[in-house]
Amino acid sequence: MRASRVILVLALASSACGDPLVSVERIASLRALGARVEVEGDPARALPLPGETATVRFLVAAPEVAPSFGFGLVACEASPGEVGTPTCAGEPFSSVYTEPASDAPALTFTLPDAMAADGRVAVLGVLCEGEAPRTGSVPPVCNDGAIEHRVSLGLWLPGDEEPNRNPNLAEDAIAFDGEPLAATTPVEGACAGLGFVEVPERTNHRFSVALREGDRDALPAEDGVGPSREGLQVSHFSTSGELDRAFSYVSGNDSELSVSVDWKAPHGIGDGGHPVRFFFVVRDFRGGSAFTERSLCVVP
Amino acid sequence: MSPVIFRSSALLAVLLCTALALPAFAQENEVGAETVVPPRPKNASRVRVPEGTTLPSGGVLLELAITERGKVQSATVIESQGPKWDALALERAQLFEFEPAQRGGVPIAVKVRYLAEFELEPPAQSQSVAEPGFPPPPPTPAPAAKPPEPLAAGHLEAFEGMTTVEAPPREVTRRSVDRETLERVPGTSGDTLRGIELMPGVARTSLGFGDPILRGAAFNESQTFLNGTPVPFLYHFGGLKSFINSRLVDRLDLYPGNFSPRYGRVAGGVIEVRTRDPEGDDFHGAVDLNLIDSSVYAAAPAGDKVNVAAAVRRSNIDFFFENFVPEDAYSIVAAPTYYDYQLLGVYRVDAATRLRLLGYGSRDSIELFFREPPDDDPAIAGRVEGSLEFHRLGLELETGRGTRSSTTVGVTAGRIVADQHFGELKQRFSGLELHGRAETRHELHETLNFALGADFFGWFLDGRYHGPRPGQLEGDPRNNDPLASRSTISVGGEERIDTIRPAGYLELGFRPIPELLLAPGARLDYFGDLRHLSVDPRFAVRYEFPQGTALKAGVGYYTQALEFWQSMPVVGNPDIDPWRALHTSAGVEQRFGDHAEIGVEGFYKHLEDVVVGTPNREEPYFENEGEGRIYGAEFSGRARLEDGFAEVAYTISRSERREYENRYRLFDQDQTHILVLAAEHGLGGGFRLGARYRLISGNPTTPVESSVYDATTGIYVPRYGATNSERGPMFHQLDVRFEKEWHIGPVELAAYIDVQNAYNAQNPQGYRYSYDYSEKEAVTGLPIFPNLGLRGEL
Repeated sequence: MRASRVILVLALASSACGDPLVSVERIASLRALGARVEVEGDPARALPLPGETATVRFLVAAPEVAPSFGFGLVACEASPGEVGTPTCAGEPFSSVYTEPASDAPALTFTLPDAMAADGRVAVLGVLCEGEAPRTGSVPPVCNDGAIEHRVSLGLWLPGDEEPNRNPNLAEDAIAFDGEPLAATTPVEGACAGLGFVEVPERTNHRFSVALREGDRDALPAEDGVGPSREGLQVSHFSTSGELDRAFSYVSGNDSELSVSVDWKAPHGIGDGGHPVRFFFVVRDFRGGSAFTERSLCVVP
Repeated sequence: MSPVIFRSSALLAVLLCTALALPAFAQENEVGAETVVPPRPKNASRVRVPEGTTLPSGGVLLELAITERGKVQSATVIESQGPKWDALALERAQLFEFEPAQRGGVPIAVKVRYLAEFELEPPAQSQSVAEPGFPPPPPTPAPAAKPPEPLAAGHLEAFEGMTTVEAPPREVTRRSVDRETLERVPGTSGDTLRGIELMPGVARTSLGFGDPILRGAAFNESQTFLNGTPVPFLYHFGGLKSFINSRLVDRLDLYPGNFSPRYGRVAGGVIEVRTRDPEGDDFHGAVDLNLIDSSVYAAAPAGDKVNVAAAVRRSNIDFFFENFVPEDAYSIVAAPTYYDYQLLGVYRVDAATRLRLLGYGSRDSIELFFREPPDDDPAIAGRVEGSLEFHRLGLELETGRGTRSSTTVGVTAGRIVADQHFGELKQRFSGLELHGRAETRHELHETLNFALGADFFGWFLDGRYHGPRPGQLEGDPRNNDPLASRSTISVGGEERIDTIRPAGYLELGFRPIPELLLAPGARLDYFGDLRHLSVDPRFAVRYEFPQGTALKAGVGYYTQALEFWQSMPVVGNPDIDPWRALHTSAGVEQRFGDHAEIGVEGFYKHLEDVVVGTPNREEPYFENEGEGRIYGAEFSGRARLEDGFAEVAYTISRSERREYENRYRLFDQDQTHILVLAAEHGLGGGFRLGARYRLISGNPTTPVESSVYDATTGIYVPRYGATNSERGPMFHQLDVRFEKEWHIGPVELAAYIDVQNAYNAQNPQGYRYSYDYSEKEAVTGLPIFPNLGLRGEL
């Protein structure tokens, strides 16, 4: 019964929370925004089985279009435990350490045949701004003095259950003020007249993210205590302007599969316009994920 | 018959047999009252009121409990003359002194009936301060008046051989505060139970963080009892108001450690709340309206032998949220509410037998709506609601009241419900609870008495839980991690959770010489859910010098019951055991007449086999691999003023724990220094003013050293430094209470303002972090809060 009090207290404590200190929806520096796992030969599947090969790709965003960073990634069997981020129980079965570049961090790994079918895989990594990570470090770390950003991904293997599948963001999934917003190649500097959707500074707009019914996998019954279907978190970020929040949520029971978020264009824009990039990530909290990027041009 | 039903039936049988057998045993050992020499009043006199006052037709008949030192321990109205005259008589009775009653030449504690009569002041006395409720008479020069004459012993009516059995000294340290004092503690809005914050050994808890912290024990390691029955929680919303109306409270006893074998299943401290039997021939009522809540109380006789009292209270917080907080002020619309109720009936079968029926209940509920998931924890989305409630009905039979052999048997049954939804996380546990207690006390000889008892704790719950895996209750900063970052588990829905815990206890009081009291005892607990039997031996000693000095010491073992879920499969470890603590303490008390006392006490506690969480919450999730040590000293001073009180309490202590033989760390709410100063006094003319000041060390904190982005959930997970290796700044706060009373006929009206945090101290309660934990800022506690209220009493 004490635990129940803790939850009640959490509710009370949460009610006292205000806005975060630093806006999470604003991309003000290099950071990871998500990761997607695709099983070789079945890219819609997010969880490999023992003996299968999969690739994990991290979505990294920065104010610059092509930030320079090195990364290190390892995949290993996770230590037992259900709190915090996972750690390696033994030697990684796959790893990569790169020199600084702008490539999206990715790692391909093959699960050992002997791994338990309901075991847990840990993918641990680090992003080093302008530098390479320390080769062979587990978990990966940057050299002393470098600005590092640690990342992790924990994957519970499905065991006897249906493998988890990735949600998807279709080409027309993102709408801007009611109109589909297609993906474009981002630019830096002046953007006016380059084919981007252009919006005046200080104006208010709305993004919508459309999900599909098939994006929410059924969940094991578990005595009917937990939800019967996945919920999906949609996170949204921008390099400029003001998004009114970072996260939206569609529960397993929601009939409405579209989420909307308002955005106010920045001001003080020069004549050539100012490009703004947006990142959208959908995840199911079980390792399934999808992400996409869009751009706009804000003009005076 | 299933094992569970068998155990339940067996315990009930024990309780029943005890109840039936003990009265007969009591009769065999009763000693005749004729050997007792009644107490003689030393300074009792008629109560004087200003000239011109219309005197009542008769006196107020009181029942006085007189200690073996001749002091009045408590006074109760038996025959009323109205609230004003009753209050006056009670106030004056507290100042009386007696030659103590004796049995065989040995002073003993007794109860007597005393008729308090009134007389008019002679003219020369009219310059004295008027009694409360009477207008001050104009100064009139006159010859010196004759002082009131002490009354003869014959003024004691109905002595009736009501010698009280002196119970064994149940504990080394019992700190008691009378209801009138507790109600006037500034900063508590008149809530009696929150008055325990005045006492040494009681740490400060923040709103929402549970029951009091007693001598460095976690909130779940201490227990509040109402008439001997454990209650699920002391405060609404973890600290706002207590669960019971103050007018039904007769006494509040705090046992911070080394308590009697009567109490068990906790290794920390005990708070015992005892209800006040409604008495008298008149109707009494009270209404209290303030910003926090509204309450109504009523008491009335129902025939010659029955009196009933009832009270109900509901919070007003939701009203203010809904009417005064603009919706766009928060991203959350909240409507927290609570209510509680009590119904107490007393049937006086005869002078020595009482039957009490007590029904009571409480409900806290909160509903929040997160229009947007917060940026620091996207798992919180949509509707967040929760409620905690219990409803109980209890019956208690007290026989041999006021004799040398007394027995009390009580059974309480009820229903308890905890229901929470946090987005898609949810839990609901509900079911029946059954509590019982049977206790008999006997004086075998003037040097030897004993108490024998049995009690029972039973919860029979159904429930479901889908939420984060719980960790150890204390000392794990990861409990504060965002919910979105924590793995969830699902349990329940199949089997009932039975928590059956019977116990028996025995304590002796042996006086080889009148000044020395030796009190050995033992408690036997069976934890049915864990199939574990524990035996806790305890011992207390007290030596009283004639000049009001007392030395005291105690040592004993105290077994801590587990939370029911800690041994549940999937959630916890069915193979863990209760853990226990060794309490030791020694101290000295010094009384200065009836009006002042000071005390100092040192203590050391060692905690053994404490249940802790496994390092990464891996199987088996909980183990008996913890240890703790708590030591310190408590200083207290109390002065009873003519029309008020002054209190000082200071505690210096250190509470440390460790897991798996790691280095000792500080307890989550270790507070090195706790200083509380409080005073309250009448200003004349019905005005009263009080203040309380607290200066307390900040709680330990765990630094966040870095964070890791968790791509599974999309949020950052903090990486902590050494647990509780830093400490927050000092807490300091001044609370002020100002009250004005009016007496209009039989009605007493009062308007009050109880200002918490009067100078608006910005006391940090913790920190909040940026999404990636690269920045933090302090979260301060409640700002200045003036609680305005009106109270009417008949």
